[in-house]
Amino acid sequence: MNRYATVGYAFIAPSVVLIALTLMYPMLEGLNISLFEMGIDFQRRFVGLDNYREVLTNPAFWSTVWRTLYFSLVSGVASLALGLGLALLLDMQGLWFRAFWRVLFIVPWTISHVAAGLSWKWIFDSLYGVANDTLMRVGLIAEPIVWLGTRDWAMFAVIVANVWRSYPFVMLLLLAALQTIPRDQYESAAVDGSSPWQRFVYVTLPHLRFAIFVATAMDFIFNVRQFDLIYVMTRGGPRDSTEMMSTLVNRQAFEFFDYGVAAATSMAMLVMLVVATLAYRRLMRSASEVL
Amino acid sequence: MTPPLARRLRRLVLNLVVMPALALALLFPIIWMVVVSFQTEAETYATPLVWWPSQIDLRNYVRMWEALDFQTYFINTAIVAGATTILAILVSAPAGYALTRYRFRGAEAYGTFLLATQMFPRVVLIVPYFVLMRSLGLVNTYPALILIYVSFAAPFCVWMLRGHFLAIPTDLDEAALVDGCGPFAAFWRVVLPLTMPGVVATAMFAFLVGWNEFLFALVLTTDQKMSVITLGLASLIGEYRTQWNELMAATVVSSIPAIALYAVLERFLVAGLTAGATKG
Repeated sequence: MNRYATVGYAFIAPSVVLIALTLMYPMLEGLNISLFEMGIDFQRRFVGLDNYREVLTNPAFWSTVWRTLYFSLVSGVASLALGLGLALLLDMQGLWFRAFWRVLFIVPWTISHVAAGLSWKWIFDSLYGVANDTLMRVGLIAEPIVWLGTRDWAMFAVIVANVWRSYPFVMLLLLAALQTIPRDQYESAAVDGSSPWQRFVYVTLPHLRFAIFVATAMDFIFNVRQFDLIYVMTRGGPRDSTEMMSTLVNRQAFEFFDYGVAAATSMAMLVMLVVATLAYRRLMRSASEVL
Repeated sequence: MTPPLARRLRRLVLNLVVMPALALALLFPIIWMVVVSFQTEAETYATPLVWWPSQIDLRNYVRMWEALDFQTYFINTAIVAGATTILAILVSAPAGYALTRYRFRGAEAYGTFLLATQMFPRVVLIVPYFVLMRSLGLVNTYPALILIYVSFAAPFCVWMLRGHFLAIPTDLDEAALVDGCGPFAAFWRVVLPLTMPGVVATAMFAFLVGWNEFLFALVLTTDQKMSVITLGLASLIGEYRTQWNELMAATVVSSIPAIALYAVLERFLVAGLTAGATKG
């Protein structure tokens, strides 16, 4: 029996070493670096908590926190709405070529964030973009909108691109959960004279609760750590209007060469993400008790 | 109950109108990417817009491949993603196997921990990982990227493979053990060959992790000769005058392997993804 366990440990050993080397060690090293002043010469000078003080007292940091939260929540709600709607469609009775549509609908999720960002950047181009062209042709706008060069529109554009890239993930998780709902529950509800809306609220939603929790929580985390799309589309601009925590860390480290401050910012980000996830879990728990 | 005729009509509308229209709208950015990639420069920079290129112009594809040096980026990406795939399988297959066959303290916690690492904000790692790679002299090398990509891919690979190992009856490896096989041989020679379809699907997933990654490539590459595709694409938009028709051609080519592999992989991915998500 003892030998058995030893073999088990031997089998997982390579993955343990890998995770220790690429995740645990860098994380501790990041914590370490956050206590030092470290510039382009990579010389370390111990400064204690000064980096944290600098980060946490900087109003620009807090506006980036709120901006990231706004981006993540708006994207998350939109992805949930779109993903749930599509999952319900794909689960409908009488749908032909179900597997074909499912594969087609996940395509946005398969290409790199960079490719997705480039495509949307060109769609939202103020001079030659198809977004302005279409809106002007149908007469919704008279003048082209400078999508990626105006503060509010830039945020709108990156959210649209982000939702487009992330809805399939939500859709897939919800669809899988939908398919576990026994058909006869719908049928008996229909026999009882319920409306489609009532069936959705009283049969479908309770079954989806856990999947919705998992999908939205994961999607939220993916949104918070989104970097590629923002970097490609706006680089955080114009000014700081689409600057997120991830682009801020990258800027502090690789544009300002302030590695200590960047490490402190990323540690603050990690703490906030953990707190947000735990808070969300608690919220979902108490919500499910009410239901 | 809805009368049959109305129901049949609704079914037709769903299948012939709603679904195609939705697909067209959702895939528009990809369709547009392809359209622009065939346009001549004059068509790309025309106002009002040219919606449809006058001819299928493949010059953009030739130019991005040769003049913009996407050839090199593709080779680099293939090397990095290929090595990531092999290493990720080598690391994750034994772990996935152990989680289904061996009872040891912390086995379950380890599985959960692996899933949790997927949620980890990677940007937290860029500074320390860069500093570490720099001190090892590994900036601008394949191993720097491969190592971190393996660690991104492996945890989910463990879960995907775990599902496939569960489907193999334990009698098989027990019989092998009785016949004098060592525990590793029982895994490597008996069980692993039986899960080949699962291994292939998992390998595709790992390959795509390496193929699509950008942040670490950006941080760990300063030499253009070591650039991967995502980095090559992103670096073009910073240029003085971006040729969007050529850029879109490069984007299309970089997306083809990803779309094709995911289309094959989708069924397996859903099983892996939903392992935790549907159990209420």
